[in-house]
Amino acid sequence: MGVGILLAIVATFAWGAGDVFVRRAMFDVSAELVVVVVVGMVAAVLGVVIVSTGGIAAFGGIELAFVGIAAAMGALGWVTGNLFYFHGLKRAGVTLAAPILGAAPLFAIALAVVFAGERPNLYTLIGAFAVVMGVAVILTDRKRVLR
Amino acid sequence: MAASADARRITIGLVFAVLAMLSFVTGGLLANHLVGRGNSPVVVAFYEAMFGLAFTLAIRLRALRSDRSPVRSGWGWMLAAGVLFALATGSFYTALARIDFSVAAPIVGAVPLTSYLFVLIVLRGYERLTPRVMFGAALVVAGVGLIGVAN
Repeated sequence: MGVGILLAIVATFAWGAGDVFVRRAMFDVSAELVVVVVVGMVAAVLGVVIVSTGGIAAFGGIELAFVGIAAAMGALGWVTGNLFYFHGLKRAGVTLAAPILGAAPLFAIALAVVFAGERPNLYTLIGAFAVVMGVAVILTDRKRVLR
Repeated sequence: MAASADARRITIGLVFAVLAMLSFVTGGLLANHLVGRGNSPVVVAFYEAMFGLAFTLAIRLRALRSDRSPVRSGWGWMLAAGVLFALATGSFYTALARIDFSVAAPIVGAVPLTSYLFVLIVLRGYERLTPRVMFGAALVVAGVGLIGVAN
């Protein structure tokens, strides 16, 4: 298994744990403050990593197009993504809304094929389908939720 | 009449959920584009977080001002979550520099499963393990394993 695959698996566990920590933090703190503190902490940690590995110079040499795309990513990831998802959960409920988010890999593959010209192999497609089905099976099981 | 209002509310909710999913996927695709052009994955993740911070502050400042001070345990969970999200974003974007987006995206599609595992550990008494969940988990693990072996 390659380093790229292992890093993606590390990201999966870190996101999974982070989601639960956020949920736990919301027992004591408002959602607004949690989002601001968490995204601020992400920027601070990554900033420290960049300075300690590449120095201040690593922040420089940025093109205008880079800034525009990074701004779009910031809006999509931290604003519209969460905002739309919370509204979706509120109106449609978790059993309908959550599996839609779980289908993201299939849309990701479709976008990667159309816009990035990637050609995933058959095993990747079968694996992605298994992941999506598995996530849907888990998220739609109401008996797993105790309260 | 009530049934029609319910159907409309659910339909709007589903549209929101689709828009959220498209937002997350498009963000990943844009990250893939920047990393593919030779930009440092960690620098890409840093600038994304900085813009995310600026936007969320701009939108939620009023709500934050009326907030009460968080208790100490709340700070601990928030800071730990920040470290984990930094690790996740940095790792994912570094992975995108080495493998295709169409390979990495299905793997992070397993986040709901890992989330569920941590719920069982951290939030004991909120969810339980059922045979159906175990079947779903087996499907996810098999899928991720297949992608890993095939790539």
